[in-house]
Amino acid sequence: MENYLYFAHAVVETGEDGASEALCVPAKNYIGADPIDATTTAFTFRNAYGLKSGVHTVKLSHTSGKTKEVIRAFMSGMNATPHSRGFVVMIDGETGTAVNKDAYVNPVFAGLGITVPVMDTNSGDTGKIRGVASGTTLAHSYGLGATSLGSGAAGAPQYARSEVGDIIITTIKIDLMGLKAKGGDAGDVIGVGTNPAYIYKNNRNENGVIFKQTISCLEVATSASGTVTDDINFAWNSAATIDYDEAGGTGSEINAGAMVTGQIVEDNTAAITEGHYAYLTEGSAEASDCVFATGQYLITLYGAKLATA
Amino acid sequence: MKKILYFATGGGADATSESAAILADDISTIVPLTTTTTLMYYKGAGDAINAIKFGHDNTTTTTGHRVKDISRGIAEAANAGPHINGIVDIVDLDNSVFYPGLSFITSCAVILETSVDF
Repeated sequence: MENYLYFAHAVVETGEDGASEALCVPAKNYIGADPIDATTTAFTFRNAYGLKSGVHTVKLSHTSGKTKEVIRAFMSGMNATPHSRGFVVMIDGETGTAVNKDAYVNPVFAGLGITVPVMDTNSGDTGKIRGVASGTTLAHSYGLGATSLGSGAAGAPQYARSEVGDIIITTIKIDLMGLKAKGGDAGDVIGVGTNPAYIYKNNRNENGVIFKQTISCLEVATSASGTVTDDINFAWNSAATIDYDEAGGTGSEINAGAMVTGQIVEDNTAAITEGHYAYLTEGSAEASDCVFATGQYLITLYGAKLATA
Repeated sequence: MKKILYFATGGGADATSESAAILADDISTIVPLTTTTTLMYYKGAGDAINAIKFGHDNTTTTTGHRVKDISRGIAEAANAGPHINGIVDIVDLDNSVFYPGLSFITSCAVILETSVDF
């Protein structure tokens, strides 16, 4: 029998933000318990969201000085007998908006003053990040005009971030399939349709102060129709409203020129303004109504946060 | 006996991501995504993170979020037996087959190599 443990806040509506309002985890992923203070004990589970280094932490508030009793009760619930059929509700505090249900605290916690749990999740030191379509707050925001189309297309830009010491490394992988380059003017944005085609926002709270940026060609650009361009740049602009064939400019750009698979171009002088949005732009007017069939690029941003006391 | 949980999106199960047969041991997390969606993460090949995204009715103002019902169903299915052949239908929208108690699920998407946002 493999037990699955369930915890819930008073209001359950979201959960993929590192502070889930409800959580179900297999008991086998239990790591350990940590008495944070006299009235709070934290229980940790490995493999959060499937991330190797990710952990879920469930913090239980309880009567002062009852740490050992709480741990013993938690173990008792976690190892519930076959009568549980594998699903063990540890603490379900969901009554905030759900008017037709009652809160439930597993009887193993009787007399321990247990209240609604707090769930935190830490992704560890590395992790992929889901992009936010049409977002304008978080760094990993993108416009719908940057979403690749067609059979086998990767879809939305893909993000990942890791930290090496004090250096924050952010990557953006973008697929050109189905995107377009008009060929009107150099600096025009590559995208599709009449939606903004930004692929990232410079948010220093997340990526730090960017001091280096690179663009790598993972797959050379070819066209499904029209005349192709492989002269593709990476530029920043204050506006989050720039669509395909509109002027993206050359702000803080990497002027990559024509790239071949495996090539990288580095820029150490970007001085990117906080809050600006990144676009792929045409490096020249050599395209003519190009609809890309292939072409994939990896943008890498290196940043660091300010030292604090 | 290893338990395999089966999910089908309703697309005919004749193209990638239109169905998934998942080892119950690989399930890592079940969380609400929005009031009408719930995510179940599971281990993929290598370091890949995959997920099943369920669509369902919004019961957050009545009986509580459906994440609890989905979690219960999956937990019970993962422990099902012994009178099964190892595979348990959770949601098969090709054939309108649901694990008992999960017929409120209206959509099911298989997300390969997904990511998390935090």
